Amino acid sequence: MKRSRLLPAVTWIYVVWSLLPVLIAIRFAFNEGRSRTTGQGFSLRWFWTDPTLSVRNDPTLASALEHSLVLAGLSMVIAVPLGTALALGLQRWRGRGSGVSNVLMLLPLVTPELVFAVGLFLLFTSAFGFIGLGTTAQVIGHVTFSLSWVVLIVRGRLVMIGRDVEEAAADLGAPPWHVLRRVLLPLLGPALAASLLTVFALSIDDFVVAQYMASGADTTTVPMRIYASARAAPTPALNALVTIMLVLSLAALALAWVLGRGRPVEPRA
Amino acid sequence: MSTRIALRTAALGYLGVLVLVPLAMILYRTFEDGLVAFFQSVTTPAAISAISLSLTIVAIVVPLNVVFGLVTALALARGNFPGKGILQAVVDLPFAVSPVIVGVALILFWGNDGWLGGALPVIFSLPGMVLATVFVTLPFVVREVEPVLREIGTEQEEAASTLGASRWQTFWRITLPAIKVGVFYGVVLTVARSLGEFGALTVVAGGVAGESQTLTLLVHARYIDDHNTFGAYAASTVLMGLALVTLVLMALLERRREA
Repeated sequence: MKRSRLLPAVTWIYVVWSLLPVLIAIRFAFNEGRSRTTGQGFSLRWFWTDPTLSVRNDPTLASALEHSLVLAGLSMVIAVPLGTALALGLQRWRGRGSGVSNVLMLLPLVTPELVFAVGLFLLFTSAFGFIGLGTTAQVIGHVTFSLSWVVLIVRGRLVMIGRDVEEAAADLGAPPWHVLRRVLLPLLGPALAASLLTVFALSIDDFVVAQYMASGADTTTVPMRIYASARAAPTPALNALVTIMLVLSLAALALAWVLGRGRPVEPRA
Repeated sequence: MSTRIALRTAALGYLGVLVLVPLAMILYRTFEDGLVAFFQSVTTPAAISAISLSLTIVAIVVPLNVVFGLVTALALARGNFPGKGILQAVVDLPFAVSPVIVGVALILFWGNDGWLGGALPVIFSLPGMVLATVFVTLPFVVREVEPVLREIGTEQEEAASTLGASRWQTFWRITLPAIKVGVFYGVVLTVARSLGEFGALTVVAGGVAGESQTLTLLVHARYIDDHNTFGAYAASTVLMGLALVTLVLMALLERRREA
């Protein structure tokens, strides 16, 4: 079996080569000294202990982390119910208008995120000027681009559940609202949890939409902070922040995968 | 039934207002001065260079990802080797990494003050942009092809090799035709993502107009730096047009897959 050795070897080399820069960035997050290119022992200085420059003690880094988490939290709370509603509403809808709504739902998945950001910027500075830029606009942006993922995940689960239980409940006299609350929603549990985590990961990783919707220093997210300091003179605290982000979104996607029994979701194109 | 219609209306209303209206506004601004103005704006030297750079990146990234995707999918679906479970998980890793982080990691590695001490001129030039794009699109082909490989099984391949076909012949004549649609779907996703990528590129690309500026970077530069909003809308429309082509291709493939 020649192939069974060669193919995995090629794959491993390619994957490791691709991931190497990220792994090295993580390594220097734990550096004792200031260098981001030479190993200088191991410490948590840049995460926790440095009195002014660590992620915990540098107010700009800490507030960016806080703002990212706030945005992700709000996006989860809004996008998941809304996406679930859309999935339920679209389920087994074959009549007029179903094609249009399917396209409408897929549109955010193929729209380049920059075009989306420019469009929203235009919207919030003209027609919807009363909303303006800032946290609200950022949340609306994140909700909108993660909504389609929620619909995809919940819909997949709805197909698996099938119609039987729903009909049985209705036959036994349950009003529609009860069917939804007592039968469908509990069965959808894993899909809802997977959706929450996916929205979290999408929101926390986003750079473009958050950047375009931002209104100032207090609306800076972690990716924006990382971008801003990457070209300045960064310390390993930047690497530490990168590491925290990676751990958060990896954990969210891994959990989503386990719960949803699907595969992790790709960020928007 | 009425609950369902209410849910449908509310959710579609949201999407309509926040997806369709902004896109329609961009379209309106693009064409409000007529087709000639649009055409002139997307054929300036900087715009043509940006479009061709974006297409060049796609032309390099797609073959790389197809080869890697096929090799990896075959290894995962057919091979049996130590560490397969880890590889399975690691292949998806790029999905979990924020594009900005990809860019920053590349700078820390290849940049002038980076780990390699700037030994190779990668950052701020084409190789850096290709590396960033390859990273963010890495899993697409693998993830489309691997399930198909599992589904078709190994019977036909075994039959072919029993009848004396070499590995290479088996792959070209039996395996590849069976996974063709999956490969194509992966390629479409890769192209869409490559054209639309901004976060990772904005970190590693020089962004010099006419040289190291892709279509997305052109939109951003015109919008934010040059205050040439009309030019930005026109370039966005080109990007959106490419994305819509992708959507149509995906829909057509979906139909073939179900058939």
